[in-house]
Amino acid sequence: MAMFKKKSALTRRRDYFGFVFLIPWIVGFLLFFAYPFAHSVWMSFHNIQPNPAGGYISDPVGFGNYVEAIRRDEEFLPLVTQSLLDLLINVPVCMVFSFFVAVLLRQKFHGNAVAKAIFFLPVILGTGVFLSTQAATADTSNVAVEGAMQEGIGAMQGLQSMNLVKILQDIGIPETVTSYITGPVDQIYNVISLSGVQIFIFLAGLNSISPSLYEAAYIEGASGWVAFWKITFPMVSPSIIVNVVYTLIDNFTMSTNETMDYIYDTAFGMNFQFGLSSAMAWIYCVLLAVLVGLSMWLISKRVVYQA
Amino acid sequence: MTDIKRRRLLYTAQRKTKQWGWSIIRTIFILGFSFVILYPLLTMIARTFMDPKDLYDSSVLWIPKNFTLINIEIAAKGMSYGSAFLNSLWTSVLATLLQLFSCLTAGYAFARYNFPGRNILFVFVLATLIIPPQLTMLSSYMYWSNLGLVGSQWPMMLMSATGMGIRAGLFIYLFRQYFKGMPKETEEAAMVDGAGHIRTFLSVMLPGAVTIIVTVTLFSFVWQWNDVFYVALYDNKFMNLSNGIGSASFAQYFMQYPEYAGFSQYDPIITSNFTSIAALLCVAPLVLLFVVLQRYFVESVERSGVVG
Repeated sequence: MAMFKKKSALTRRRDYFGFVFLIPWIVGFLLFFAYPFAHSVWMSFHNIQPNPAGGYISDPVGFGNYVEAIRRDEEFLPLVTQSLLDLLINVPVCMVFSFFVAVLLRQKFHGNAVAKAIFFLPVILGTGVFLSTQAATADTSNVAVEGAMQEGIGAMQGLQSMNLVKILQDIGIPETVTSYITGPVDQIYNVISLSGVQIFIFLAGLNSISPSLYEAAYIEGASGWVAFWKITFPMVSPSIIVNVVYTLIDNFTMSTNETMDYIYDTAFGMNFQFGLSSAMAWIYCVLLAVLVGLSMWLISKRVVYQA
Repeated sequence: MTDIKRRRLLYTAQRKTKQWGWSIIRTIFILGFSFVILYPLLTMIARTFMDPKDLYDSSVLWIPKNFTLINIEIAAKGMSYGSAFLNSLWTSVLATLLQLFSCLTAGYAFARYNFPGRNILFVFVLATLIIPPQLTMLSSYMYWSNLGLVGSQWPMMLMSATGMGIRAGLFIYLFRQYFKGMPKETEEAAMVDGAGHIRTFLSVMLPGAVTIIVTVTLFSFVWQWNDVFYVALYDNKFMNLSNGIGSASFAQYFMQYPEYAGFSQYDPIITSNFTSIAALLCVAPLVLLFVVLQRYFVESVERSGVVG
């Protein structure tokens, strides 16, 4: 017993050494995360103006900023609703698409490595500059550049179906039909560029399923269809949670997200309304938290964890 | 006998057609999606080499009639490519190294030391991962501007060095998972042999974690390179490649070339073409890196389900 006690005291002293390794992170967390976090709550309850003499002037306004964001600002609420509606469409579509592609990529065929490399490209290209207008919007003085940037992005996405539309119209297909066909075609590019990471998370989930499960199922006479719903789908369900949360956050904070742009412009645009912008960011993020929580709660009831 | 043989033949024939059918469908899907991914990239590349006349010529789709390299020259001048590349390079390399340091130590502490409050602190790590930086961007901006560091690379570097850099929470999580999976005995053996905590970490644990270190290095570098959010927030005058795309003005350069005589400097097709060339030039080094190290990127993510 004495031996045991001595040993545990030793390990306890050893365990305290963990803090030494953690020093950089703790410093960063307190100074660069916790403090700005608390400060942004404080700011959302204040009216903040840059002081011509330097620094900032702040007056407490209670819930004034929140009231203004919800009641008086004409653009904010419609933008938020639009973002939420987009999410309701984007998240399921991304999930189905990336799962489907992961199933395809998992099979053995010639050129599998090349296909994986191509599908990985959006992970590298999609995170930043290719989809971003942030750099242009940050520089509000340069309107021409901003226009050009948006043109560039528009041209890039519009190019997809422009040729197709021309061909279809040359054949003599009416415009309503062509736009119905090309709508989803344009959307495919967005969906693919949004699901770059998710495909590989699903692929990792699929790779972790033990082949013996399938062997057993096929010996028992299960068809591929049944094996998919009884083995594949439940076994990747932990990846579904990860992916849904990832997609939600990614969509919310993307630099092409219009609500985020609007919040950014409110702060750094004409009037420097820092307090109002903070309040908007908080409303938006609380909505995100609710969505994340809701979807985790809904999915986690059906998740199967491997023993 | 013959009946069984015939049945067997029929069965294999059925299976063969099924397999063939499926592999045809699969090929169509994979080729189609690959096409959608590559199409914008390829058009951008093709248009890079086009004369302004070709851009307006609807019969020119892929192969330029008047092949030219001046677009690259102009775009490179407009974003002052040489110095912007060096700026991107040193900031990305330095930030990646700092992130490796802070995330490795934090991940190791969370995995191997059972200090009090470990679980609560780890919840905070996840919070830094989930809470979008946009929520606190204003307070962070004011914080750094009060310190007089806005307009320099100090905020980014200090944040990277303390585990608050770009997606640092994710890297800490990955390192923690990896170190947790390493056998306890290696560590104990090192301790018994008289190695201290730091020496054990450096010469026993780190060499065992090379694969995950490679993965994190690659991703940290790519995300840092592509970052526009932090650059625009803390130092929007900083001319690196990602920032140069939006803020460079190409008009003053292309107006000097005879090829562009007669075109307006606000011409939307030409200006947007330069923006996309600039974007291409920005990611070109990454694409080269990806082509060379493709195996590491794809395999590592596939194996560990990284990036979640």
